[in-house]
Amino acid sequence: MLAPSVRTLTLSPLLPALMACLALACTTAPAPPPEALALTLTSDAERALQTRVLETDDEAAVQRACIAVLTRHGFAAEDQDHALGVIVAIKDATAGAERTRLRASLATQPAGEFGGQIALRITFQRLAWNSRDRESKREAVREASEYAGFFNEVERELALPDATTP
Amino acid sequence: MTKLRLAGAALALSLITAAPARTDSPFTTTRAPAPPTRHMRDFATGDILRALRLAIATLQDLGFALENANNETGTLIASRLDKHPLRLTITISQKSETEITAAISTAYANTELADPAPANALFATYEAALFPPPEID
Repeated sequence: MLAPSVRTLTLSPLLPALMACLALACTTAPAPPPEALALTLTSDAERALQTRVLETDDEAAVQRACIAVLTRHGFAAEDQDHALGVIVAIKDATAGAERTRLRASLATQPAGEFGGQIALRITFQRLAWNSRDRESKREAVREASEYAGFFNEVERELALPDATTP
Repeated sequence: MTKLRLAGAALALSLITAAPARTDSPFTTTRAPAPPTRHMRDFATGDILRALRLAIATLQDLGFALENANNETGTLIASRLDKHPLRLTITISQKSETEITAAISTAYANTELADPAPANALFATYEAALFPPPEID
């Protein structure tokens, strides 16, 4: 146990400096690494994995089918804009102190030189937050089977006889 | 006790001087103005729905996952699929019958960025999508 006078002498010069450092740390965020800001086009293989061209011109039906398939797999719609063909759906889980999320993000676009097709592009993403609610994981799902499984179910939902991958 | 009070006063003073300047205060003229965090560019097209759909495709081509899309406000929010918590907010508005304005804000780990690199890369890819080169037979 320090004597009061010693305690005062020890704390008085240190505390303001420490608090100033703390305040500065709170106001300045770490600079992002250069590779985080460098945007590059995804590869053709990645694009093909995420995309399927459906032999229909009924965009609304494709969107409904996507929602039906995602809902069946436990996803909840987080955002939808039918005019833009966008659907964002999430599936949350908690594993101990960690919170995880699977996010499906898709867009439909009319396709084909003379119409009659809809290009459906979806990405699945894994996210996680630790016990202090800080993001601890952010990665794209790359398993081809996940994408093929989704597209096959959408096609079945639409009762399409045939569909192509670009 | 007096020394403790002095220490407390010094602490309070250090906090005040280290606090960020209020951007709406007229008394912050001694500090250099912050670089802009919103980057804008005009494009010669009048079809805003097509422009928004192409912006969505461009974001997907650059490895972003859409988080939010709103055709009424012309706003798209997307974040990088992998590793880096980089988020872009794009707002597309009609400037005239034949022109649109695209504005991009960038945030990294929820902190706004002034670095124009991501916005410039996106503008370049977006322009190529809006105005593809003519096909040669």
